[in-house]
Amino acid sequence: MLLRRRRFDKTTPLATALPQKLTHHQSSFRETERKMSEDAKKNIAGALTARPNSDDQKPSPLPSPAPAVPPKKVIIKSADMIPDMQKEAVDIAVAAFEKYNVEKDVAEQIKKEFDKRHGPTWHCIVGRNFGSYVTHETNHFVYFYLDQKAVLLFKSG
Amino acid sequence: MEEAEKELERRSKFLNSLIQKKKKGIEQHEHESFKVHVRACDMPLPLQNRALQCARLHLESMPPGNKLDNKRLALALKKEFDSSYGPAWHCIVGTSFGSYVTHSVGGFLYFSIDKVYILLFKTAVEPLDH
Repeated sequence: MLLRRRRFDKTTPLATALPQKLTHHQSSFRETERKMSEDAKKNIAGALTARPNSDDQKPSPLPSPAPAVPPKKVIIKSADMIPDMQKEAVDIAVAAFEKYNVEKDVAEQIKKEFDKRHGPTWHCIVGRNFGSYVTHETNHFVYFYLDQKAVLLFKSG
Repeated sequence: MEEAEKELERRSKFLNSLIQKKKKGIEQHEHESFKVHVRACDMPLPLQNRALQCARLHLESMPPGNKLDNKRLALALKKEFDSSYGPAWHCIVGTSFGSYVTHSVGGFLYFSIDKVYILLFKTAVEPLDH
């Protein structure tokens, strides 16, 4: 079946992030710190396998930051994905945010990298305010926060 | 004087009816205040109208002043399209997000209604490997 790629954006460019001082590379998750309550949810349909998915509130270890680049706060909100792939998603996202200012470009970078490394077809959403409901392949879904930005990455189709 | 009184009464009624019509007009306008813009599209018109209608009904059904629940709207749209047009549909609702997706031909719609942006797209569902 023919597929077409589309990208678009509804957002203002990222403001320059102020340097943050962190004494460690991991942070505990506290719900009260978050204003956004939106979360991605999964739904199984058709031939896709259905499995219960519990929220993983343990943060992924951050990669070693480059000099003068403050490490970003990472919170895995929801995942149905092997840990190695989760870390890969976070690493690629961190690099993309450093390289691009526009959310659609960040999303494009992440999706294309995963299409390349793990085969098509991946989809990526990046932003400050959104809710979603998607169908994904088993073991191919992750939803996490990088500082104030949420990243939704999943495979379907 | 009686004629003058009748004339005043008639004018008063006329003005009242004008005011009533004005009020109804305002209410009508408020009811239709959800402006819809289709931003990008690769979808047959009937499906477009279905999505726009579903979103509008969802917004209108909310009590005034209530904040939109992005997930509820996303779920409503996805379910309707999954059941009406077959799996698998995906829906994103929000005021601030960017995206990059691959969709099936004829299965893509990005529109805004009021201040909310909605992305609805379809992907092919592959059979499970056995």
